[in-house]
Amino acid sequence: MLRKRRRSDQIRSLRPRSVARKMIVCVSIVGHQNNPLFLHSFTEADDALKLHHVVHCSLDVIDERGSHVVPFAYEINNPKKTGSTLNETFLGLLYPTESYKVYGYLTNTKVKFILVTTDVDVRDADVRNVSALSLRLLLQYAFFFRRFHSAYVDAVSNPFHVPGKKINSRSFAERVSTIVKSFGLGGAV
Amino acid sequence: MEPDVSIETGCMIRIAVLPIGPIPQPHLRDYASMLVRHRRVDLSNISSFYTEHQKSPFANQPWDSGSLRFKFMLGGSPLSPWEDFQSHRKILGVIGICHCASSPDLELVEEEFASACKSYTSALVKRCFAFCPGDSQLEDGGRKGDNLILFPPADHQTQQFHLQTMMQDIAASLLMEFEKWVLRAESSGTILKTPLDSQTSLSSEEVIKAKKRRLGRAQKTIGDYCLLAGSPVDANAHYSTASELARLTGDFFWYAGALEGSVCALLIDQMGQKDPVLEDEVRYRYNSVILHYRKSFMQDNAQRVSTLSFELEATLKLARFLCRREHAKEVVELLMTAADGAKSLIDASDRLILFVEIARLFGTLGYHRKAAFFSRQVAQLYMQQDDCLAAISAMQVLAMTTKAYRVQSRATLIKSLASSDEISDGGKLNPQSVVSLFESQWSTLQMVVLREILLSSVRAGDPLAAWSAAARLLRSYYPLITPAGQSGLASALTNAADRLPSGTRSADPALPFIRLHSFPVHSSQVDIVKRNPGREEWWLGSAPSGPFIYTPLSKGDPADSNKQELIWIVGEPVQVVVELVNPCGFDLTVDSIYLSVHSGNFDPFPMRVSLPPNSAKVIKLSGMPTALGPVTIPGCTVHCFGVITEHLFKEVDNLLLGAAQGLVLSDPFRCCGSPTLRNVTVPNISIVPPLPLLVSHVVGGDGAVILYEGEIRDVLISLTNAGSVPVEQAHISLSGKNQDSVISVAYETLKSALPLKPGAEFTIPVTIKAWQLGTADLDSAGGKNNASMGRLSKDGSSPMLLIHYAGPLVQSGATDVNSSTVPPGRRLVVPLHVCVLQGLSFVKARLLSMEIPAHVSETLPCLDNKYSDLISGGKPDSLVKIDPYRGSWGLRLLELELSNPTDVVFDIRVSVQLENKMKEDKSTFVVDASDFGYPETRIDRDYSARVLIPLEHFKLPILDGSFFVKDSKSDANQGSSRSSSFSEKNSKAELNASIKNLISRIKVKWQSGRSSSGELNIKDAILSALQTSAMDILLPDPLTFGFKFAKSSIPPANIVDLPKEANILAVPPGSKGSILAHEMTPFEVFVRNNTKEMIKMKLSITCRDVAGENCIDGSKATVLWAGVLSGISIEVPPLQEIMHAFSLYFLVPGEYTLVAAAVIDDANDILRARAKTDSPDEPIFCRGPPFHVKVIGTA
Repeated sequence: MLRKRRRSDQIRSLRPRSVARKMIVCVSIVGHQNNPLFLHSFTEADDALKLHHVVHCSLDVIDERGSHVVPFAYEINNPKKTGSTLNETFLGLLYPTESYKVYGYLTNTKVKFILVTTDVDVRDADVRNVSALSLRLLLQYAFFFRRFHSAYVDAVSNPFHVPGKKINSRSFAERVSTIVKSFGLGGAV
Repeated sequence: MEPDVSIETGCMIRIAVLPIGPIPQPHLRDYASMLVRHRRVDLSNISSFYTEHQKSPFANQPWDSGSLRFKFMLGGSPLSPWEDFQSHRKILGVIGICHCASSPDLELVEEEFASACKSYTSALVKRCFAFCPGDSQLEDGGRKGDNLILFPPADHQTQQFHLQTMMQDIAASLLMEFEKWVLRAESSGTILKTPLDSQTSLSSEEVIKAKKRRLGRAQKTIGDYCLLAGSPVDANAHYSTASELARLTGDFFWYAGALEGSVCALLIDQMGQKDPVLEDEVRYRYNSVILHYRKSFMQDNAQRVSTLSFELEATLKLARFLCRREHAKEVVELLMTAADGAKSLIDASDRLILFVEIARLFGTLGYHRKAAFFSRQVAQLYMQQDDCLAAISAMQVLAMTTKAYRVQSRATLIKSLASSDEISDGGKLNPQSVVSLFESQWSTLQMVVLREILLSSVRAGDPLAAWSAAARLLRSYYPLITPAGQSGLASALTNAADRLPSGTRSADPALPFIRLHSFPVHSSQVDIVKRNPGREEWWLGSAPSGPFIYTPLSKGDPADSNKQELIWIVGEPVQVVVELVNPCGFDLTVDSIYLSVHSGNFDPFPMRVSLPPNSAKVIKLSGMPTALGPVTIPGCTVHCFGVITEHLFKEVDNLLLGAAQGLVLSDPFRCCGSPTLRNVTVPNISIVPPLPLLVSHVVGGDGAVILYEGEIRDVLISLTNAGSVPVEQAHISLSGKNQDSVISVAYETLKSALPLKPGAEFTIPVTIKAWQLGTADLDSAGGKNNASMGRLSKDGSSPMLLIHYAGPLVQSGATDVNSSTVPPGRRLVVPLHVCVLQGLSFVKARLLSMEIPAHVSETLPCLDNKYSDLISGGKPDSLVKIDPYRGSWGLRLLELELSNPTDVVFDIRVSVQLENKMKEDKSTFVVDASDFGYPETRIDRDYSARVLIPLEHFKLPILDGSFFVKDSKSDANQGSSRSSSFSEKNSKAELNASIKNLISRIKVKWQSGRSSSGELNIKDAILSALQTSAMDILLPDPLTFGFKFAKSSIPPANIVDLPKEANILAVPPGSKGSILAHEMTPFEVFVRNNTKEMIKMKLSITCRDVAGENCIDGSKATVLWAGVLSGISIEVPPLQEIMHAFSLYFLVPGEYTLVAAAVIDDANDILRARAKTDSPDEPIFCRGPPFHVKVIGTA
């Protein structure tokens, strides 16, 4: 199933070299009725529409997973390392697109956090054969989502925020940017 | 690549189905559908057609359970370059379909069929089915070859059976052909080539290799035929040999092909079983297939031919095999890999097919958003082909994505809603629309999709679809579209409509947004009142706006109370108010808009509206109920942008609700400045049979009657029965504010006009007196003719006439007389539009007293009878007569200062109502000032003027013990008989009543111009002016003094002049009350006691000259006198008068003044009170009015 392809090399060569090995391209929050609450892209390119599509399509997977929640049972493999700290609501890799990876996180209130990255190396985030590398990465993602979640909680706790309405608070966007930047740093480790 | 591939595709026999000759489309479809049913023919059924010519190569054919599968290629298909590689790609049979009715010449048909078959070289079986042959053709057909098979006309079932037989025959023939082919291939071998093999000549080394490969390829192909023949076990055996050989020779492509075939054989063999082991096996083998296809990719001929499509096809096949929820992740990965591969596909149509398949698989998996995403890719690929048909395909594909993106056309939405059996509940939001509200936030994507639909449908030449897409785009996303873009969409709508036939309907509304504003509950002109047949006043107890919220007497059923009821009447136009809004930046013209009512008993009237950019408009849509029954109004039908659409109120309500929650982009009503409405409740509307209808108008124009304060005018109200039922009962009552201002209503006119036939008209006069501005209530006293009704709570300062009327108790058409179904009555409210202007305004009132001495004459100046002048003179010529002989006896003047702030001139007339009974004939005089020629006071605009009102005649004759002399009739003449009505207890109140009585007799009337006249309401002002000095005006002094010449002693000649009106018979006209000097003139002084007590006093008389010097006493006395002039002790009995005589001798001619004065001894309390003194010791001094004496003569 895992394989190297010449074509994929071609594709990768099309991407600018400046892109880091795993870079967050877009973060998004989708409400419990699948309504977009927040979508922020971190690329210079004018690909907002494309990212909208990516986020929109990822809802399929979240819908499916949300319907029969299979907890992300890292405990089976690494009970000491993760314990209960890893949030069960982290859905892991949702699906790979042509050049992106989409990760998801689902809160109890069915608010979805979606992360689109460009990392293509960790192809398989399958629970059953978590390699040490990918596990570390997944932990990073889980950590990222937790920070993202708390930022969201703070943003919607604003008394002037109307639930269900798009979040267009500048401070929230700045905080998310900070989290994204710090993720990039942490990922380099 | 081919569409619809699956692992099982490998065992399907392709048969081209070709129409031969002209066939009408429905017939072709019918025949094809009959054929397509026979996709699978069981081996057990074809055994009768099968003859084994030689030993069958398919040793393990499962005759009892196996089957042949067909794939019918309607219209045929081009040759595939890969048909050697995969035999199922070959067209192995050709079936022609011919409709005999349209192609009479069977020979021609046969020729045509033969030529059509020529292009299918690989076809092993060829048949032409001719349907519906005529009799001659049937005869003919017998002579034709085997290939032409005639289906005699029969019913459907028979034809079906016939066709089945034919298919079994074909299947058997094919099976036999396969056997032949396999036997030949096994014995002689075959040359199999693919486009992959190099076309150039091979080197010697390669030739050897190629030979080996050829063997393997032959085995693979035999395996293919085994599979097609329905023998998977045989196929498997050949495939395993083939794969072995291919692997050895490094022929990866064929190896992969053999593997793929083996998987197919496995599946066919294990038909119907789905165990995980099998799945794993299939997955494992297919992964290997994919891998080997990829391996066979050769860079050198990648430009010419690529195995990529096989790899992708294999991926899709595996994905389709695994396509279930539990394998979702794997399938997604496979499909995404396949989608990745699409970039490297050379052929655009391959890519198209790939995306179609990916979208379909995602759809099967339940990933609708991803399916929609790939459908969009498909549509984009279609759009790249510059071709109308491709555009149609693109449009149709995009139409499928609308559900996932929540931009469905309402036409499809309604279908889905109908299937889910949703009950529309007026106030509640259904869950479907909630979700769509939320998902509508993906506006970025939704707009793109709609724009693509618009583009594709324009290109596809489907104006209705284009219209619908543009409408959805404009309606839902106008806030995100620039004004230029909005105008572009508007012109797209217009362009699309130009190509549509007029009267086309679209399910999707465009602009404007329409919401229900209100249902005008009957205008007060046509109010319907439930009729209470048991009562005379039938409208009572059922009036809609009573003072009580709940009346125990009215028995309304509770079902009615929770929802507003609205009654419409057949034949009477009704209105519904809706609000339109155009939030876009262009001028919107709604060609027609009318209420859409589906119940069929309502005839709406269309109207045309134009809406400027960003504007809202509230319009009244009217219509006419035509038949009895309930009516519901779900929305409006709008003809705008050339297409008819229905705009539902419910949808806009949902939209507004969403906007209120911040879910929808924008509230179109609010952004156009229209205020938010509370939720409009849609009443239950029912239509009832016709009722009478009174229409009123004020004669002379319906404008307000402009009146000055206090003005009195008649207003004529004309009433017409505009209904089709006669008015049989009618009743007028008053309502509203200022009811008092309606002085009279001609009830009799109304009664006499009944019954009022339809179309009949009559007029009622109503007299109105304008009320005072600023005061809520008028003084209700004054004997106005008020019909005092219970006040209904209505606003507006004008009074209203309430006319309750009703038709006959039983409808003329109705046969059953049922008291419970009495047709309702109606209520007409006629507001009397009165506009009251400020008139004369009152500034202040003052009471003035005057002292003009009377002249001494032969008589007393009307002491007893104040009206003696009037009585004797017959016709009085003046109200107040200040003649020098009378003096100002008891005269007071009320001065009113009035100002005129208006711009007209007022003429003021004062009248005092003198109502008195005379002693003689008891007749009554009412004296009006105007009769006296009393001048009118004219007040110019912006000036003020004073009006004097004489208050002469109000003094009471008796000073009573209660010192309130009061007669119930206020009659000044009957002093002696009045004592019976004295009352000490309520004397104060009686005094007030007497004052009021006095005041009410004073009327200040005004006239302005020709028509305006009225009365000044100054009662309060007079009252306040009088209050302080009421006592002085009304109460007489305790003693009245008077002088006169002693009659007997004066010769008539001496009396020079006497008042004309004096009631002395002997006095000749022209005589004057003068006396001569140097003559002794006898005088008489009269003292009258006005109290009911005996009064003792000391009377003294003084005489003064013009200088005021006492000329009786002193050294310089100029008057000699005889008799007693001072200190005369007299006693006057109650209500009597005494006379004291004396004489004066004037030495010097001139004017003299006689004054009588008295000091009352032992004054009682009454007198003290009258004299306003408290001290008991203080003597009470009464002084009479001065009397003038003119002395003539020479000094």
